[in-house]
Amino acid sequence: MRPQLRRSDASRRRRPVIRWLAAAAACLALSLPTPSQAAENATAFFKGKTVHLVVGYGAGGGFDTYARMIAPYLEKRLGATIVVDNRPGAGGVVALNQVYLAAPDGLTIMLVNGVGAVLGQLTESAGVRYDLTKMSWIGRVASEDRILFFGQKSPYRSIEDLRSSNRPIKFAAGGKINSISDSEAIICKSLHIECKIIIGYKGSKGAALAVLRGEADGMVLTASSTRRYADDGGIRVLAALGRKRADVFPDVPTLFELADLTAEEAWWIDMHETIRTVGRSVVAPPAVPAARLALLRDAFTGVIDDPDFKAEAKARKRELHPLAAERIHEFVLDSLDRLTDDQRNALRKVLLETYY
Amino acid sequence: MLEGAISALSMAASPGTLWVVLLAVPIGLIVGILPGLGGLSGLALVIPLIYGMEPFQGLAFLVALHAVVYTGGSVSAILLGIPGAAANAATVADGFALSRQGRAGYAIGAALTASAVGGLIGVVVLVFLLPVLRPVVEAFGSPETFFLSLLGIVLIGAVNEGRPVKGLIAGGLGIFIACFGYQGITGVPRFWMGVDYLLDGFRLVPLGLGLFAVPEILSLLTSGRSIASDKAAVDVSHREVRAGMVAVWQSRGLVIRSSVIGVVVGIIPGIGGETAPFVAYAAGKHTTRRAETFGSGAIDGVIAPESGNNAKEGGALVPTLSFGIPGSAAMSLLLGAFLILGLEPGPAFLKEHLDIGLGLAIVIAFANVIAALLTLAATSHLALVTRLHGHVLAPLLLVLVVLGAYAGHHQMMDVVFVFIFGALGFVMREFGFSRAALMLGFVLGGPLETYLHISLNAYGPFFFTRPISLGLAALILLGLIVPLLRDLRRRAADG
Repeated sequence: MRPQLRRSDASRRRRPVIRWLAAAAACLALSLPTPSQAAENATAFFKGKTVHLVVGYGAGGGFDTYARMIAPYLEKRLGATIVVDNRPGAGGVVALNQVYLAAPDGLTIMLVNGVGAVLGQLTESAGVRYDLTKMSWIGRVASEDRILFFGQKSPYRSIEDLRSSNRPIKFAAGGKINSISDSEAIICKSLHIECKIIIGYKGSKGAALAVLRGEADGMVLTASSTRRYADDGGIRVLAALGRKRADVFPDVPTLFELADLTAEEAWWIDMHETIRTVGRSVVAPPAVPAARLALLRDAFTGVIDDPDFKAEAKARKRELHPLAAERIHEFVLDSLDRLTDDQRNALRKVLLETYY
Repeated sequence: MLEGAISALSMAASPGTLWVVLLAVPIGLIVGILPGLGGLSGLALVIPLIYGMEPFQGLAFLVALHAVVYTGGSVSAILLGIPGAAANAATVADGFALSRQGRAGYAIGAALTASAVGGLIGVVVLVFLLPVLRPVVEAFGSPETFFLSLLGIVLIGAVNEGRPVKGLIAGGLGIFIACFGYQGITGVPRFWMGVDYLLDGFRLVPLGLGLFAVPEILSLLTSGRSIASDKAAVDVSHREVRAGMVAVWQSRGLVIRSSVIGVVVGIIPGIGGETAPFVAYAAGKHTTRRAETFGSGAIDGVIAPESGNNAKEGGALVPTLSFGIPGSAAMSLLLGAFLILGLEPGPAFLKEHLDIGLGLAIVIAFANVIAALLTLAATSHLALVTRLHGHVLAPLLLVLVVLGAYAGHHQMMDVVFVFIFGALGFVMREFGFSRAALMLGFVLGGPLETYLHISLNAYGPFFFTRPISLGLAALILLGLIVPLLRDLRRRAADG
């Protein structure tokens, strides 16, 4: 009996410590907010506060228009005041840098040019200080299909024409990696055609004018912009990029339908489409508290699904292509983290050097 | 075309439009006169006002406001030596000199009349071109734009008030300053030194304000004297103003030439409209017989740039309406306004909305005339500013300058650089280097490089064999040879 007592003596000395620890742990666990409490806290947090919806471009442009459309609807759902904050500079890089470093309290969010941002990070563009893989994604607003077209004054009417051309094909674009030139570079690489991408034009309209003038042969543009030029009759639409046809051009075949692409050739187009699907999305700094991020995501999804909002977007001729935040994050990781070094270097070479 | 014209007239002459224009013109004049606010900041400030306006009236408001900014800007260029907007910088040299001689009324009378006439000519050309805009804009390709930029550079030497070499140095410095920031072709940021602000390079408004406003403010602060020297009576009598208006009639050839230059520069989307008055000034200097008086108070040195910078507004509407490509920085703001109002300029726009184009042209003409009349009536009061004590005027100007610099992009760095460029402007003024030449180099540096690159890539090394390019190349050669010949002839006559 005694040895048992001795053992229980020792364990009795230990038991209070354990009990104390257990009690402390229980207290801690109880004091942590439950998921529903966290959500309530988040809702309460946003009430009456001011959220800055940053736009990396000036007033009047596409991003600004989308942001100003979204703001009033988001205000109602969050209970916070939404201020659209135009911070133009370096094609949106300056604003994104600032948002990346902003306080992760949920009060600073940005409608970002996802394609430009991904390409900037991928090609290690000068001045880029953000890391999209770490940022908190909220949702996508739009991501337009891209169309390949040529001017009436150019001799190219089909893929065979392109492949059998006896001179480099001249493409027009505004600048490097601005979603026009990178699409063109990828097409040239995939189809194995000799190209020259002429950049320096004043935006997509300046480049389109060059194509109409015959100074350049063709270019890639968003489907809705191409529609306007097509209606006017100065261009010949050739193909839609991507695996599905564009809604705006249901009769235009995809590149995959027109050309028999090998797996390696298809990889380039698919890779570019992955980047392209990041589109115009809303993003927040890294490490935003989970409950607040969830609230922002819900509110945002609510806005995009709101029938009034959809009607307003339609009236303003702005397309909507919603996508869940988690999927955007996956696409970002696919584009930036999940490439081998060889793939990354090959992409960089094609996007920045080969056709210039 | 005819029904378009009729519809345009009915839109432009409707009471709503008239009210809107009568409201816009004084605002535009004030924005122009105040040195801190230039055309761009002014437009940016009033764009929110057009939400909810009828589309044509909203556009008429903006267009009328902007068309008269340069009319107002000439007043401060002449009275204060500070251009009200960047495009008035070429007027400073002769206008301010006349003001210091006490002949402010004469200069203003000429400037206002030249502005009105230039604006009207710009509108006339626009109306004639509207049906054939597409071929015209398409004919001016990248090689033509390059040669036009080169022509501008060649004329830089002529803009200086003294030896052309100093003008070229100033212009070269301007081109160097234009190199900061992202290079248009390679995307490599130059000279950014790790400072985010410099990624986009320097901006025109802080540069212009710094170069012109800060040295004048310094002079006023240090000397305490008013702008007009005490000895010369400030003459703003109606007689003086009328003499100015008569001078415009006497130089009518110059007015037409300068307006045409303004319109052409406005039509070409690649070159900013700000170069129009400088090119007109330099061309005027080349073609008058009294070239030496330019820079020290020749009235032609006021007439040429002022006709040019109002005419360019009519020209700048051309690519804006027909292709949606802004013909000038202000036009890009106007484009934003179009989009806000639910219209989209572009290839199809003029087919459906020719009446809007014509209507806007009529509004510009109307606004120019009203602006000139209003300002002429107020000249005697405005000129009293030159009698203000330096210690009173300088702080007022300083506030306006800082506000204007900040209003552009809400960035403090813009204000900082106003003063950095101010130091540069001070040095340049002391040593006789033309600040207008620097600004011209700054504005042309980018297009020169970009369009040479595009031309070489699109057409190969023989890109200059297109007809319009050859014509421009001939003008460039003339621009280089004529001063040389003049110099030789003068030396032969002396010696």
